Amino acid sequence: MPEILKEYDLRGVQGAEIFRDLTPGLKLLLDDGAIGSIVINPADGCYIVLDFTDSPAEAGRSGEEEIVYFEEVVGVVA
Amino acid sequence: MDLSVRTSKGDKFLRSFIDSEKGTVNRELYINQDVFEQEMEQIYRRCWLFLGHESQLRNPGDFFVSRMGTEEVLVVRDRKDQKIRAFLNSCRHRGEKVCRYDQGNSLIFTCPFHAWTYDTSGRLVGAAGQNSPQGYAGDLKKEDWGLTEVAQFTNYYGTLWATWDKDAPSFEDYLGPFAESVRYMCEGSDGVDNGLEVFTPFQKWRVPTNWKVPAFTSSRDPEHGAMTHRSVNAAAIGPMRELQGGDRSRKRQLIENITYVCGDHNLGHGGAWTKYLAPGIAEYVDGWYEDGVDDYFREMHVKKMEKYKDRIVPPQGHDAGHFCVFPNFIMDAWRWRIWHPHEVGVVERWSLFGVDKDAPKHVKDAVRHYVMRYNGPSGATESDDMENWNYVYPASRGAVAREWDYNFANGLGHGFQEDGAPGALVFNGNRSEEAHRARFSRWLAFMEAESWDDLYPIKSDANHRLW
Ligand code: FES
Ligand SMILES: [Fe+2]
Repeated sequence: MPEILKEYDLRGVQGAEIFRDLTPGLKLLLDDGAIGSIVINPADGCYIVLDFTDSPAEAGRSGEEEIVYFEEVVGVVA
Repeated sequence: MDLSVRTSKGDKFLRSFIDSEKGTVNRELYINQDVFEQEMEQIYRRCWLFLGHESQLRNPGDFFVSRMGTEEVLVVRDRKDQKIRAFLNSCRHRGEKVCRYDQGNSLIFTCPFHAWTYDTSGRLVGAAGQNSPQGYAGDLKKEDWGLTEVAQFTNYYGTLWATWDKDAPSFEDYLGPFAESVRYMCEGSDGVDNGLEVFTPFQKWRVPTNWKVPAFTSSRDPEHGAMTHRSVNAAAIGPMRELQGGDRSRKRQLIENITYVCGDHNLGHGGAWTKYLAPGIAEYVDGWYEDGVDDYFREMHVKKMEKYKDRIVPPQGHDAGHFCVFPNFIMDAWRWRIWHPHEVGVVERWSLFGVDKDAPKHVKDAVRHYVMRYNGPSGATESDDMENWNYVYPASRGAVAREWDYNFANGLGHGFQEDGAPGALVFNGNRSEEAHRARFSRWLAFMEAESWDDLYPIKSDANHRLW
């Protein structure tokens, strides 16, 4: 299990703002175990575009990019 | 199909409101809720409607919200294939307005209600709980729940149009003899096709009147100009610069021509129609107050003169005035006016102004300032028009007022068709109301038609001319 970075508390009271400000390149762990890196953050606090191609083993997801809802994101990982 | 509508005096056939012998239209057609609902169904669901201009969508992800009748559409350039598409701005989940901004750039469109999310090609790409075992548990078939796309869409020399009806004819067929004029009005001042961009954001405002008051009868309404705009023309700040048409009119007269008002009773389009009798374009006439602007346009004009030196320009070309593309778009060489119905007594007006996309800044600024002086709620000329449009509706809808007919008889009985000309293109004197009558011929045809099968140009032997 990759280590979840404490400085990004996505489930706390400031979670929406922290999520809104996540920068491209950070890696996110999803609730199904997949890890993807942020391609674009539209900064709406709800959705984020991830690239799963660099972690195909965990992902089981296809396509170059996928739009992910914040509820599915567990945290930012190293 | 004989359509009837509910009135305070019982049900009446639509046809009974138009008296083609006397040249009258009953006011009920402008104030009746039942008529309005049927117009949205029979006309706005079927016609090609103007959405905007491609210069509003330069980059992938650029979008704007437009209207088709009472409904909003989201017009967006896809991030991936860069194509422009138009969708109903209504979430497939429970109907919330998906995009609540007038324009912008976006990666995705997230519905603010339950977070259904669509990409820039209209596909549903996410929904709250889509993977949750407590929610959809992966059962939501996203491919079935994309945004509702228009049935047909076209980019016509930079102008964007759509229809909800898959059986509507091609846009060019829909325009008929007016197609070349639409193309001409999208040229840059050097005569190059699709040479314009529009100023954004543009003016939008609502007028408390029925949409047909301005949309059907402000093009061409020559008799209103002399009266309504007398004061602004006297002040010489309108496009005429002086009374009697000024330089603009004199320029047109340099090429031999006959001016008409014309209406196509089968298609509904019509307005000013100048028949040029010789090829070419007249010399440029200076008209700008600002330094360097005439220099720019004079240089461009030389190129355009070269292009047209052996060609007769289209009938609405050459500053020859405006015309209506049925049902609600009025086109002019330098301004495009669209009338969006909201309710039976409320219409929203958008004014788009074109300028050469490659013009230098001082030219664009001068054109923009001119547009603001002249048009819109703050402009000196159109505020005159708005007083009329505002007061027509309340003065027509009372229990007494609604019983009377409007008079559309100016020039009735004097129209003529050219030998062998197709369809029902009728020419009449340049102070007549022929274009208004053509609008109502087409209006009734749409209101009574079961489908596009009943409507020209699908049916080439049709003749919808009422009067
Ligand atoms: S109405 Fe749009 S997500 Fe529910
Ligand atoms: Fe006017």
